[in-house]
Amino acid sequence: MKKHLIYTVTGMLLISLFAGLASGQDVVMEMPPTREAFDTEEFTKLEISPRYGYLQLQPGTSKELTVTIKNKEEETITVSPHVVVYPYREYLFDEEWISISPESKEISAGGSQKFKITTTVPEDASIGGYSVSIAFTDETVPTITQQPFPDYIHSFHLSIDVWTPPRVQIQKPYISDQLEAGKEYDYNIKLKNIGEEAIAINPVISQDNQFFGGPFGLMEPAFTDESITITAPKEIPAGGSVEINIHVNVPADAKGNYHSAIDLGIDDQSIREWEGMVQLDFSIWKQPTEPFIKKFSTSEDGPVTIEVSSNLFGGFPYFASSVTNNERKASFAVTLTGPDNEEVQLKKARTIMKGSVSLGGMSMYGPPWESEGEGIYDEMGIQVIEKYTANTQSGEFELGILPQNTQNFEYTITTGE
Amino acid sequence: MRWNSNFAGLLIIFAVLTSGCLIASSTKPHWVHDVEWQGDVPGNVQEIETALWTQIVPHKMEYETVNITSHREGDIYRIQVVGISNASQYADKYDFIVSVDTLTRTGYLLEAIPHYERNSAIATAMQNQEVKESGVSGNPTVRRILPETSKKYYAEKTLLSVTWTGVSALVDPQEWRVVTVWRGDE
Repeated sequence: MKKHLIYTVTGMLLISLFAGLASGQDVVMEMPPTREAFDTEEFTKLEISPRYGYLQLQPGTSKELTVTIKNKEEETITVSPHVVVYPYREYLFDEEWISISPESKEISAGGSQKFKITTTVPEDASIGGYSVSIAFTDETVPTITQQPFPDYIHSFHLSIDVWTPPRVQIQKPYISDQLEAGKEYDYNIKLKNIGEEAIAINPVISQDNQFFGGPFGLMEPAFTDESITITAPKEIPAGGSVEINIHVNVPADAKGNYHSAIDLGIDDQSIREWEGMVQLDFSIWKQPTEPFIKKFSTSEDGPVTIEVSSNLFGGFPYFASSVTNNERKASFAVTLTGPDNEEVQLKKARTIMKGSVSLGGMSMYGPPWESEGEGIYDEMGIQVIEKYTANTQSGEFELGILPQNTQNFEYTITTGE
Repeated sequence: MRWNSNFAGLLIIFAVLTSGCLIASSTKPHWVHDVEWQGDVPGNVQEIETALWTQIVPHKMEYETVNITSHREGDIYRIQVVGISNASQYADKYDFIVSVDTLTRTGYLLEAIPHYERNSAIATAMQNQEVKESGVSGNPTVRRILPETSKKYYAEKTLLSVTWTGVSALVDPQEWRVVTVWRGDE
């Protein structure tokens, strides 16, 4: 019975297959657009200037922009601008917020037309970044598959930052430091309320803003959030200031980096997500207490020159910057012990500060999208070189170097003139 | 006594007029707190500043100070603008040329990025397979790429370039994903 059923179904399948082939009906397959279809020659030649605009608007205010369309065709073109809203963006733009004048215009061959774009943000608009396009024609970029949101060729892209002046001022929204394992640190964040009402705060370590990246790739954080204690009042009085205390108890076995943020929990609409955060960037550093020792010998009496240099690209702390001058300068405690185990007097002959400055731009060292930085000075790193001299007798010596604020260093020992 | 009161009156009038002029000449947008000029300061400072505020913009922060250094070369002025914010340890740098009454931006190097975004950009870049495989190490630079540059490589929007020696990832901060990777050895 079962066998009979299998034979019947197989037979029906074969008959239907052959019937399909025998019918000779053409199977129409939609082919993707050819290379020619992408040829710009097929598009209406319109110059749009500018192509991109940026507005910062407070709710209840408006601003005007002008976009000029130049007809590069040899015939008259009708331009009818319309607003294109992308509904998948975080903040939804309402096309009613934009008015365009004129609504439509015929532009003669070689002629140009200015369009006045007025953006009005209503009082109840959410604070945030909006993005919208204004398409001047219906022509779209051909695509292989149908796109839910077409890419208009003749478009002007407008970014709108809707903001209100924040009522809470954060003195410095980041804390970055180099910490020693086993030690405790205290930091203060000062908040000022310039409004006329008290504002509630609830600072906590942000759970959704952590990553464990460091200078050498992804890694575990140096310590857990439990090592950080936050002490803060519940609110900032109107016109007053408060301080939030951050206490960090670095575990004795901590190694690596810790990155996270404190979400201040400011109850104020004018503070955007990233504005209400204080970033924490800590690099754990174990300051050696014993010097590095190098033994060497000289066969003749005479001068000995010691040169010690820090790493050019390894400034401290890890996130330090020459702009804010919070970089800790590298230094060295250098000692020399002579043949009779007596300390040899070293004379610091000179200290050199050596920098590396890039002129940016397109090169084999940088990506093409950073080419706009060409010709702009960019200090890549600073190196400290210290040179010591001593007059010695021949024999066995012991050089001691205790580094401070540098992760690696180099030394040179020169004997003789 | 009479001379003193006349002098005081004149002083008040002068102060009121001067403050009026200063307010009238202030063209600063809300996101610039202080402007300092250095070097060969051109005569039409106010016009240049007005044009400047349409060509520079901080990224999710305000500039505490904008330092403008001007250098005259014949009929043109070369202007470097450095925007410094309390919200970042790094600065934004822009280069301009002023010729007759036109201000043209000739370059930029923008590193004043909120810590939150800077770290997220590094994290996003490091999770990219190609970046991972290239074995990057050390502290990368994170730079803001303006829409007019970005459109050549992805789309007309602000992107963040995370660069180590020989490897760079272009990150879309709206979607937190790497849109393209550059490798110096290819």
